[in-house]
Amino acid sequence: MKRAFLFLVFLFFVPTFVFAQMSLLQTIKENNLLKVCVWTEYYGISYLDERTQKLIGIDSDLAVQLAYDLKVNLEFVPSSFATLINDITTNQCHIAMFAIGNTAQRREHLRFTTPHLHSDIYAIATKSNQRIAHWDDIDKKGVVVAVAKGTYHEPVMKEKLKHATLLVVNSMHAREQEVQAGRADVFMTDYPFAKRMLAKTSWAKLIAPTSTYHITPYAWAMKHADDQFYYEVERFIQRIKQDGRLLKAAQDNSLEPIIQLH
Amino acid sequence: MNIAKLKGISKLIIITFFIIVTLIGGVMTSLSILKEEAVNANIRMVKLQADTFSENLSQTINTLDLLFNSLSSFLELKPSSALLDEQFMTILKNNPHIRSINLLENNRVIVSSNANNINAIIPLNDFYPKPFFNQAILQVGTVFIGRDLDEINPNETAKKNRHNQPSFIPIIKKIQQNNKTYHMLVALNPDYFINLYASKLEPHTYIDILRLDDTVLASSQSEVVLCDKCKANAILLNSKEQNSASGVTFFHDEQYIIAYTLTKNYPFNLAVRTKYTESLKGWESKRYDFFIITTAIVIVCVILVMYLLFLYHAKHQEELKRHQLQIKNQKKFQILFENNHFLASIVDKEGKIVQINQKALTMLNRPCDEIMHTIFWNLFCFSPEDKRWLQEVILNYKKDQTIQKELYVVDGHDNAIIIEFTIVPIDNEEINELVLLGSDITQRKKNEYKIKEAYTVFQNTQDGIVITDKEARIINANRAFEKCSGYTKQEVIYKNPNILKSGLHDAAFYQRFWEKLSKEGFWEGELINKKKNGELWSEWLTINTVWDENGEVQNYIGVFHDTTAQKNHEKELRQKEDILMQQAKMASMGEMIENIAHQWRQPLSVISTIATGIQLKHEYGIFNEEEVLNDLKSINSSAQYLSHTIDDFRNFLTKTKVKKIFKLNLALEKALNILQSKFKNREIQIIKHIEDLECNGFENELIQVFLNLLNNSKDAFESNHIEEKYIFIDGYEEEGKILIFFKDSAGGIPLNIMDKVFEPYFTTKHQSQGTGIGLYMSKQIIHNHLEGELSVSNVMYEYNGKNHLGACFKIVLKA
Repeated sequence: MKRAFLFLVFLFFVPTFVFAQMSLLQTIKENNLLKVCVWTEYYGISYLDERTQKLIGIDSDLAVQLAYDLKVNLEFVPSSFATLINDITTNQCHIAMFAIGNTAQRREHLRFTTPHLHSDIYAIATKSNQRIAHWDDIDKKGVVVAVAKGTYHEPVMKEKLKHATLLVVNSMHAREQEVQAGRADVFMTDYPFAKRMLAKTSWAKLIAPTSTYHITPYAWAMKHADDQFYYEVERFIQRIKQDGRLLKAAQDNSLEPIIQLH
Repeated sequence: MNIAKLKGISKLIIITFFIIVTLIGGVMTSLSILKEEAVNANIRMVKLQADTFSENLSQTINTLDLLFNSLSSFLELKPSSALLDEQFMTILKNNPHIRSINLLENNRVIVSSNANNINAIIPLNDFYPKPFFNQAILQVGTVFIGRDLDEINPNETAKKNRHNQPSFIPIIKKIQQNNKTYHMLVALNPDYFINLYASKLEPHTYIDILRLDDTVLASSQSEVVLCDKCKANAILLNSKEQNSASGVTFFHDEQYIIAYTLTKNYPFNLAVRTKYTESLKGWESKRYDFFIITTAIVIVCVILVMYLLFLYHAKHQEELKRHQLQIKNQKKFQILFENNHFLASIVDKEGKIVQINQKALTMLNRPCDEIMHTIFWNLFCFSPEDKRWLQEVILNYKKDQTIQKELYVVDGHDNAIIIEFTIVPIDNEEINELVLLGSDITQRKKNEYKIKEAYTVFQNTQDGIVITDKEARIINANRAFEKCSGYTKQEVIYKNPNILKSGLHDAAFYQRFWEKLSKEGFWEGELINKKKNGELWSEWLTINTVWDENGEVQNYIGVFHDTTAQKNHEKELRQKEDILMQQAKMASMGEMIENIAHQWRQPLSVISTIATGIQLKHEYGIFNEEEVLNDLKSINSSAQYLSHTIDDFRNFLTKTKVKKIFKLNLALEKALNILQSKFKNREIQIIKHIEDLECNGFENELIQVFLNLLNNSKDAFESNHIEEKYIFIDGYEEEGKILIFFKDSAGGIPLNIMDKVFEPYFTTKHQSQGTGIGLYMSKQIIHNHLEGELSVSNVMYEYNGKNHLGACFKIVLKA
């Protein structure tokens, strides 16, 4: 509580003295447009329903709120974990808002906001797969574990798996296809994606870790060295944590178990 | 029919009714559950159908999407028309769901599998969904009425009823060719899908193909208006959230079981709906039969169950009654076992005590736990011989055996008692347990002995005993009666005792007899009866009444004693007594004559002296008239004295037979007068304290007693050489009795003869001085004639400063 207060004070006083040059925030304001990178395949976070062409997810909802708070128009830019760094650094969008895992590798190129979500790692297998029933069945010889390239699951599973075979696929859908086709036994995913899988498919079953496996904080990312915009977004994050918008967005997308309010 | 039965029947009816209602309710509930299950089954069925069709449509549209991509690639190669037509033909041949394939540029058909479509203007504004990122996605338009693009009216946007007209669904996808944007449009044949799906459905089941914005694209039901927005319902809304949903809802004012399933990646929502009533028709038709049959079965079962219950209940009641009876019997047995006057014990085959009643325990004076489970014959109360006998009879007891014996035992208080011992088996068929009963007959034995004794007395007593019933009929008589009366017992049984009447007693006697007997229950008196031989006999009869518990006369018991001999003996005694009386009287007379002689001596001497004096005076002529008068007075006084003495003598001799009232002190004076001169000569002082009392009796006899007592004192003074001779005579009335005391100072009567002084002929004097019958007669007179008491004792008293010992005779008379 004390830290938050001090931080707020800092945020209040600092921004006016920073940035002699035109900041991203100014650009956004002048153009009256906030461009937000989203990954349209991220269930629960920023998922584009192909059938309705509607963007559904906690981060897409919060992106609307951010644009509203900034009093600018909103434009979503399709992105992915694979193209994230490039999309941000080449200014395809001002901010990537699709529950990005704060990893060391990404921090080299991107600046992360305060986490607003966190998730452990989960596994999805088919209901008919009798070899994989518990978490302990995963890291066994002969088991194929699929992860999506560019996701934090890739390095984490690379490190943790001792006996099972890791299969890195190009896309999220590819993970599902590999498992459905039986070429992989499980694919690793996070809480939002796992929930969506269970809700949208009839073949998937969730394998949850018996204890905390690898909690990853989720935040938004932007370019380094743009404090004004950064702090503006930070202030926004504090606001939505306090005024209940984060909680409501999480509830609307059934993600309240993973929000991080503090 | 009693109230209990009526209650039972009404209870049964109520229960039956309740059961039937419950069961019918259960059947109906089951039916509704079954109906619900039937509905759910239908729901599952339509859902399955919707899922299947949706999957099929998805794959078909996916193929179409791929077709768009491949065609796009093909067109990039700028094929010739012929090649293009050929390609189109191949595609159309293999995809019967495609009506035509068209390429549009700026809404105009520039290439088509149907030449008639060329240059057709197609509005592209009503295609769904609008791409989010302007990417090339498959979009679905609203239905066009017409076979192909050439037949449509592009301006018609209103809802379209088909009226059996052909229609198609336009599907487009944007393609980029040489930096130009084209649209690939396929005219989708909805009939293909409807035919394909509807053929798999029941006649009352329909399929609708909707766009995700609820626009109806196709329907197997002709009444459905194309391009109409499907009326929103909860299931439809739910399906968009969940990808599929199913349930029962109203569709066009009719109830349907409906399932919606969205295609996976394309904006279609497939609805399979079946008419609710139609789908349950078969079930409804069977439901009635099912209900009737089930109800009939239920009723039959209920009746059967009720009947079985009734039987069970009856059996149960019977068993309950039997059980209650058993409990009652057990209780009765327990009560009888504990509360009877028998010593009771139950032993098993080995003689071990399994139950014993309190009376037995009290007799043994032992606690229950000490006695229980011990061997019966080992109880301390039995003698060794009885122990052996008990062991043998118990261990060898046989069916229908009667065992009864009197045992002499010692109870817990070391008292010897007699027990009448009996063995009874509990179950005569299988001898497992025996009931041992003992009855303390000690008292009975004593009573029997007493009765025997009493009977012996009854039979052997010398007194006759007659027992009559309440009607005074003889029911028993003893041997003494037989001997006395001369009648045998058999001769007098049931006869009235008046057969013994002598006739000497009058009616008044018998009246008084019955009055006293009735009033007091007792009569005693002398009776003269007549024997069988006519001889009379005298008896002293005592009759006692025996009362029953109600106070009524039960028996009369008469005990008589033949007093004939006694009477004779009494007569003899009386005669002897008379003789004794006479002798006593003679002795008294002798005394009296001696007294008279003694008393006459002096007055005769006086008379003689005076007469001689007068004669001398006359002879000497010194005759003085005054002196002669005085002398004559003295002579007269002496003569009077002599006359009184004669009177006394005469009176004493007179036998008075009639009792009369007389003064006690006068009677005493008379006796004292007779003895006064003798007492005077002997200096015997008489000290009298007599109250003015009257007696009723024989005065002379009392005087005789007084004379005897006074003479005895006189004789005692002389024999004991007493110097101070006193005789104290006191007489007073006390508590209705006259008490007269004669107390002398003659030294008392020696104790060794105190109890003999009243015996006849007992005397301490020489026979010339006494006959020894004086006191005896005195006692007889006082006791028998005057109905009083005469006793004697020695007394020590003080008189004139000196102690005196003497005899004190006490006479007690009725006042």
